Amino acid sequence: MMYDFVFLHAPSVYDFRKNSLLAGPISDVVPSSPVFEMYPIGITSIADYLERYGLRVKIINLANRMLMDQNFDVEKKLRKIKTKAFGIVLHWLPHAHGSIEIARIIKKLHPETPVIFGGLSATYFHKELIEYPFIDFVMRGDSTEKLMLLLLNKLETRETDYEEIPNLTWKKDNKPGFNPLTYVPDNLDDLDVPGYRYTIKSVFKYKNFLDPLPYNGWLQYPNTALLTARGCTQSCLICGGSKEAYLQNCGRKSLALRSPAKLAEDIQFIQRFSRAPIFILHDIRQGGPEYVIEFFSLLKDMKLKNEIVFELFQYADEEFFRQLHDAVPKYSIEITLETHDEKLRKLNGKFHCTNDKVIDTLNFVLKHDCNKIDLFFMVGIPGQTYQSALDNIDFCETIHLNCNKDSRLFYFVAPLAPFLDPASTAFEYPEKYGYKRFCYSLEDHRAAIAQPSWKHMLSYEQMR
Amino acid sequence: MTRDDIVNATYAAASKLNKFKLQHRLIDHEGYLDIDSKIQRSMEYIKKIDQLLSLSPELHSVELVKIKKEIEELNRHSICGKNELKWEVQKNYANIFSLAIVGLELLYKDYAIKVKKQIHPGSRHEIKLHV
Ligand code: B12
Repeated sequence: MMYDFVFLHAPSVYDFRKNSLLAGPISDVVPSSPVFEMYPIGITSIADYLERYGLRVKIINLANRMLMDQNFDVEKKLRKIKTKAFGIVLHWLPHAHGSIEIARIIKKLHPETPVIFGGLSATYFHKELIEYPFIDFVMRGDSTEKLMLLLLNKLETRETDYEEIPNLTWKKDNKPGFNPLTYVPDNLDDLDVPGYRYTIKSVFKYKNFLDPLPYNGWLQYPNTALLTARGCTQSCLICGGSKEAYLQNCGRKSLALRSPAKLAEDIQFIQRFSRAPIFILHDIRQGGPEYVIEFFSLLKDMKLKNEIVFELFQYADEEFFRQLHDAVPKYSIEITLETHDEKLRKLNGKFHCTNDKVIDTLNFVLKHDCNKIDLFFMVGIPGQTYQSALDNIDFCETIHLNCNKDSRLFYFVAPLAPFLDPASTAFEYPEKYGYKRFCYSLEDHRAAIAQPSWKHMLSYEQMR
Repeated sequence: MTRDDIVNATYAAASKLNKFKLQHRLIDHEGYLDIDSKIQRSMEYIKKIDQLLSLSPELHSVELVKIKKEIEELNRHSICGKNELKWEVQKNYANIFSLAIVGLELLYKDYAIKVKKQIHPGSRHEIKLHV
């Protein structure tokens, strides 16, 4: 079968099955393993959009296939594919090694087929990527659905006036071209983000359910997530998806929201095939009070069968949870505190209220029948000392005692690892926030992720 | 914190958290021991790998292969329990019948797109960007 476009999601390191890497806790608090086999949800949106115009698009999660089967032969799989172009995911920087190795193999097997990179990290390092002889294009930005159709159209008609496509990095006769990042839509309602309709359809259409599986274990635990926005309103120092990072990396000046109606429609759709929890990504309060009220009223009017998981970026009052519970019978909450230290929280940006207010928020949630609350702490944030990192656990105890020792509270600690996020304020101004950076270029990160222990993978340390 | 401090602080905090969870019966004893042993072993391997890295590159890759299996066990849920992150699920799927219906419905829509494409092959070239 001839495809118009095939996405490949590489493992973080290729071939992790042959190397020994003590990745330790770098992926302990995400559904993936250290292979980072989960692909970015946005590639399903691109696939969904392209298929609306009759293109045939396939997603192959190579990382997960390799993880599920020790003997899965990557080259054999890739050799058989017939497509007009390949898309290689470099969204998360830990894929710096695997994505490049897969691109190298693709060009060896299919020298005539264009290789297109995309994702947040590809956007950041596009100038370095285009230098590789086996990479032909980098599609930059956080919303590439329509741009990808434009590019595939050009490839189809063999036109080479690539200057016409916004956000594109390209090359002709070995000379690179960098088009300005001007396409930054502020509305996402004409897209499916993520494209679950595409994903389900592709299983039936291309008769393969292994290739598009999002992560190892998904069949046992078919979690889904819905993105409420692209961009962010918060300015957390260590986040490569902060307001500042999106401005610098993706040219995004304001949040692009999905409307409550679209989200509700997607929840209805997911309920038709899954009973597992649906994670609503980002704090819905980013949309403002009216947005929240509209969303809750839509949820209240539908027969919600699944548990819905919400994220909180800042303090919330009791009224919020009263309304939430009124609309959603079964829900859980995710809170990333990073630290017990009020000053450090204020510096970093998330939950910049007092500890008393943190505890108040938790008690409100518990009072309003939440199923589960996950609390995350981090080691390695700006200004943190060894002692301060350990004191986080004392704060867990304080919380626990002040919340009636409620067993619905779950506490997690994880390191800021393996890398500082590119485009995050901490990455851009390391000295200002007490960091010493070991990695600058993509190549530095590529070498780091293949180190044998996570200590040597770390792209930074603190100066004090 | 240096790289060493970050690693040590991570394991020390994880170990302290593990004890706290046991003390308040948030985890059972078996779960506690599992994480505790993973933390101890991880710290040993961090040291061991440091030593190996001081050998010549050829030698250290040979030595690394020897510890591959043991390391792999430490890569999953090394500092927090396997199920702690999961939300409770009684039933994972809506029934298979409804999934099949969804699939058929989507295939039908896809077929409609195919027909439309045959009648009007140029539609993919007509999109406009609103910048
Ligand atoms: C939701 C989320 C997650 C979810 C996963 C969701 C998913 N599957 O996509 C979870 C919680 C699992 C997660 C995990 C991780 N995350 Co995260 N995550 C986010 C978050 C909060 C939102 C993502 C988002 O808005 N995406 C929207 C857009 C930008 O992406 P998208 O729609 O998926 O993709 C579009 C474009 O990027 C592009 N594109 C992407 N890939 C490709 C490929 C091709 C070929 C093309 C053409 C285009 C293209 O087109 C898409 C649509 O137009 C961001 C923070 C933020 N506000 O952005 C962090 C963020 C993306 N995550 C980050 C990190 C570091 C991680 C982890 C590595 C953390 C860790 N150590 O465990 C893991 C990796 C997990 C894995 N791969 O297995 C960093 C990335 C920094 C960097 N550049 O490396 C961010 C920026 C901030 C952060 N620290 O959390 N994450």
